[in-house]
Amino acid sequence: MLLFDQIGKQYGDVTALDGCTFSVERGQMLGFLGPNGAGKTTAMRSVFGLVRPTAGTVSWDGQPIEPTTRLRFGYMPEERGLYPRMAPRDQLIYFGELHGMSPNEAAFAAGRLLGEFDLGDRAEEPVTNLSHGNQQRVQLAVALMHDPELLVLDEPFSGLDPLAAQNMAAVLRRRADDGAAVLFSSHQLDVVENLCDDVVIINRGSVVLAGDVMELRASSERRYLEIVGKSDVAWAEELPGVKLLSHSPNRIRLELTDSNRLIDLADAAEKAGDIVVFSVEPPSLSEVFEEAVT
Amino acid sequence: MSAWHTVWLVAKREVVTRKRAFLISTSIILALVVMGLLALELSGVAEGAEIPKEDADRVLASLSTVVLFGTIIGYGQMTLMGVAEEKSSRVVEVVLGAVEPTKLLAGKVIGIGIFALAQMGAILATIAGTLLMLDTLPIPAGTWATLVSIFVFFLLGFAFYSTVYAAFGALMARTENASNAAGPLNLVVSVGYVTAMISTSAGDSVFAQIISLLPPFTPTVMPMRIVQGHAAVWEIAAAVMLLAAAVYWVTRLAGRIYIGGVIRGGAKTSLREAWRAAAL
Repeated sequence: MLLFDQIGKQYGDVTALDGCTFSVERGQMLGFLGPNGAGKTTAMRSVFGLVRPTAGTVSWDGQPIEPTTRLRFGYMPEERGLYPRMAPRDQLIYFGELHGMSPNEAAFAAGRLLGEFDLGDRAEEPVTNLSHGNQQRVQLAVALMHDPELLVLDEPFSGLDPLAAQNMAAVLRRRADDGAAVLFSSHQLDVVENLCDDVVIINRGSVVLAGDVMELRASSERRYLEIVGKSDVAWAEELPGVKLLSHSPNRIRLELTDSNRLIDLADAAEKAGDIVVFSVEPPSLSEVFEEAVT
Repeated sequence: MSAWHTVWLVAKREVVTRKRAFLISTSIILALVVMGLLALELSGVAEGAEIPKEDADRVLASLSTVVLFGTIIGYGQMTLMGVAEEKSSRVVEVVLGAVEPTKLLAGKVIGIGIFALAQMGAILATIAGTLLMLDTLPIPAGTWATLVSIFVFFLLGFAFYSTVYAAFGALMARTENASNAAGPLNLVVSVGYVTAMISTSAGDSVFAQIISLLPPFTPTVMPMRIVQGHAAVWEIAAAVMLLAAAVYWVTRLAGRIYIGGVIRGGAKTSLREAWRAAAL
């Protein structure tokens, strides 16, 4: 288990982390969320000794993290970094060996990952010739080479299209199912809410929300009604006890109050037009976050 | 995994990725050396004139100074560029996830040092071989002792300067600025070089005696004095000890600046910031 225990980091007058506490279990895939500048990168770098906290501790399985402990961790920094003129296969083998693999083990693992990530035909080309998406895959492969017990990935989905992000999430999910602890950060709350079950949301250096995504959303009092279909908006404006949040020709979003009976709303909607979607939802993760910080 | 294994892996990568550039540059230098010596042979000695021993010593002293100067500056800059490249491409962050910064620095310096040593050895061997074959210059009596001392001073000098070059490289945000950063360092090395060159023709001056004991200048000035037979044994011993002590301290200081520089992901870093960042 990776435990951030009351860690704080002060850069002069700037507080990057302020008593931040949370943990990642083996087998868990935890989304580490928060707006830009919330302190996510600082916290993640502290796992690798690149930032020394001014308060609190970071520990792995109850032990302080030593350089040898880190050989069992995999890291994908926010700023991607590979040797530009080195071929993917050579990079993978190099980083595998740096993490303590024998040359044979490293060569085998590199071959397997290059196949898994569909990079086989680019394996011997300098990384700088690869597309952005492919470089990102090589970067992830570097972090996965030595079958780490803990994966720390800073913004792994940034710059990926939704499908590529889904694929990467699936790879991470498999690692978690195999027993690794997976921690990844993102500032795009809406993108991430479907990619993992558990999240920790930080703001201004401390944790504001933590838990299962669905539970966090459900725990809010608010409910929203989303209606998609061909209908004008006039009927919705006349309904008692609802607040019209937004609408476009095909989509209406309402906030409900306790007194609404769904059956009445459905009736009204059906009369007004041809409905494709009629869905009652708790607030989205980013709406939960907004509620929490305001 | 042992510390030395990690250092060796880093050093090996430096060697493997630079192999081609090294072979090309070494071949060019060796060709130039051989052509230069042939020109010397054709110009003066063709008429059968005997070159006095003193002149021969002077030629060898100048040659060894040039080789030392060129190697330290050339490979020092290579270290600086390598460090700056690693920092600007951000790959250093991934490496530091697994490797402690001191080991990374040691591996880089050793890896590039192997090349520097190999190149210097090849150049000196080519000079010696060509001279023997052409029988142009009388080979001085103490040649072996001289060669050994050149290697000792080279190793210490390289350790001294390459860690400082690495520290300067770690302060850079972009490789384009890295050659500017090398300026002040190149200047220091050049002072030693110029002093040595002046002294080869002007005999052994008090200035050369003093400056050959100052660690930053020892690597270029002392070998010249040894080749010409000017340096007393106690002077050589004192120079080695002073330089070794300086290497110990400089690598510690430069190592700290290096650490402070590379962990400041991608940002241009001032000396002071790097010093503080490493303290943390």
